[in-house]
Amino acid sequence: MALSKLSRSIAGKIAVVTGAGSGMGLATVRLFADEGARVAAIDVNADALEAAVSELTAAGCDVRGWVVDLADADAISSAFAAIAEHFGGVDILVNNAGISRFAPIDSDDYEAAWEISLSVLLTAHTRTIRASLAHLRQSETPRIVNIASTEGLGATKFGSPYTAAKTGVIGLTRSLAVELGGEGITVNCICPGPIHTGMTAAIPDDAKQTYAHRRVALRRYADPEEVAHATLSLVLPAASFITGVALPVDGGLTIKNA
Amino acid sequence: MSELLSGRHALITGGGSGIGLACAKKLAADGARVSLMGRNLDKLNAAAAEFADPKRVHVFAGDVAQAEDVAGIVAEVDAIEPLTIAIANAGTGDIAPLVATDDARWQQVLDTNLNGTYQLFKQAAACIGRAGGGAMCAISSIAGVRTHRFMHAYCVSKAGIDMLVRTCADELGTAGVRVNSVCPGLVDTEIAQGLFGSEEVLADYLDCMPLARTGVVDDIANAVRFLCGPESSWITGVSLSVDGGHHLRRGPNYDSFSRAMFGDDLTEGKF
Repeated sequence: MALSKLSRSIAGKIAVVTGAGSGMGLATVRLFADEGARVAAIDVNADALEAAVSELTAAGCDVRGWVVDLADADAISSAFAAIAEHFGGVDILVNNAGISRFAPIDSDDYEAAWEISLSVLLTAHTRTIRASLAHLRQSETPRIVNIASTEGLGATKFGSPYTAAKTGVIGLTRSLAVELGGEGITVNCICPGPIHTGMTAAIPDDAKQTYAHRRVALRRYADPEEVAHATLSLVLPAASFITGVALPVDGGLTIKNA
Repeated sequence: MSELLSGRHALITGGGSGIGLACAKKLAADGARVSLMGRNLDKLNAAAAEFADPKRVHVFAGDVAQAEDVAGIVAEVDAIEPLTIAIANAGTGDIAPLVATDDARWQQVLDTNLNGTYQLFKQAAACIGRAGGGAMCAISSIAGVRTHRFMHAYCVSKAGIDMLVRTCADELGTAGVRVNSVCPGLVDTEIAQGLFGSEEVLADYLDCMPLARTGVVDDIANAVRFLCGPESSWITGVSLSVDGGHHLRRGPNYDSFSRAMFGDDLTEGKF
């Protein structure tokens, strides 16, 4: 393989990002668009998605939004058909959308928490991958990145639906890396640690500082853009030899525990 | 070319060829000053001549297995411009069944791979911390992640490097020093030519690599560049496999090497 093919640019690539209306997904869409990619932004929240797409379109980026509930299989397949039709293919899929439902194992709402967690955090990934596979197979640099979590490497009390789903994402990633590697499709996942996003917004600042000081080697929470850069590094054409990896992007959290 | 790493100064051990030289070139291409350490000065000078701007490349002859060499060179490097990136790349390996392992060779592999990384990290950490933070990166290996039968010292040294990376990351986060490693799979370098030379071994490697191709030095250098740059500001204590997915499968089959060098009985455990 000629080294000149190992490009560090995704300019012109078509990327699909789920959970694009806020947090790490929005940071990823911004970064990818800034790098010249054409981005299909998916979110369940129409207002957040509209705001994100308006901002980026006004900045001259080629971004378009699709409102999709990822718990809805039919909505996923029709959205991906529309995305492929609009952009003419898919080169990069980033499964980022997430929810956080904590539930003690003996709580009354456990079944509901389990069902929605597995549906949005894990089953949806298989559906978006299946819906984009034919297009990824046509790409010169097909890339799948799943956003797992440090919860997939460790555990937190009352988080069993989330932890089970995120651990499942890591297993899905590894298995598909082996299955699709022969076609040159790389499948990796990122395990973000504590990040300033909507999901952690309710945690008081002093609690965040105490937590970060005790458990995070870099002693802080991260900005969503720091995760987006890690995602970018895995979808570059130059990342063609990396597959099946679960990359902690966590400031050193999982050195000790999760 | 970019200026993303301007004002950064990187020291790379084993910088005269292969993965080390490729890493140095990636960092230099983004504006970093680079210092290359290696045992052979002629090789280092030849490598330095390959850079676009040789004035920003410095070479130092020394052996990472010698603590005083590392300490002296890190001090010299830091005096040129404050050191902010350290890459522990120098490495060596050995193949032998356990009972036939040469003690001196075992020690030599540990001295170069593990002690060499320890000495570099020990000397560079304070410099990088004083400079306001930066990154250290070790070149580990798939051999630190998956067993390679008949490759005891190398596997142990690389697994040791990965734990050293984690303990250093844990301790140095407060100083703004991030510490990570890259775990390459089979990469086409001078040191790996013995592996590429055997069709049987190479076929076994490819069979266990989902991406079904061997690596090139730029595959590794790009990952090292990422882990040493501002894009990875939230990543520390990580050992990143860059191996075509090899870590998902089993390690390579070196039986044919062992048979040729040590005979069938030792290879098959008939003592």
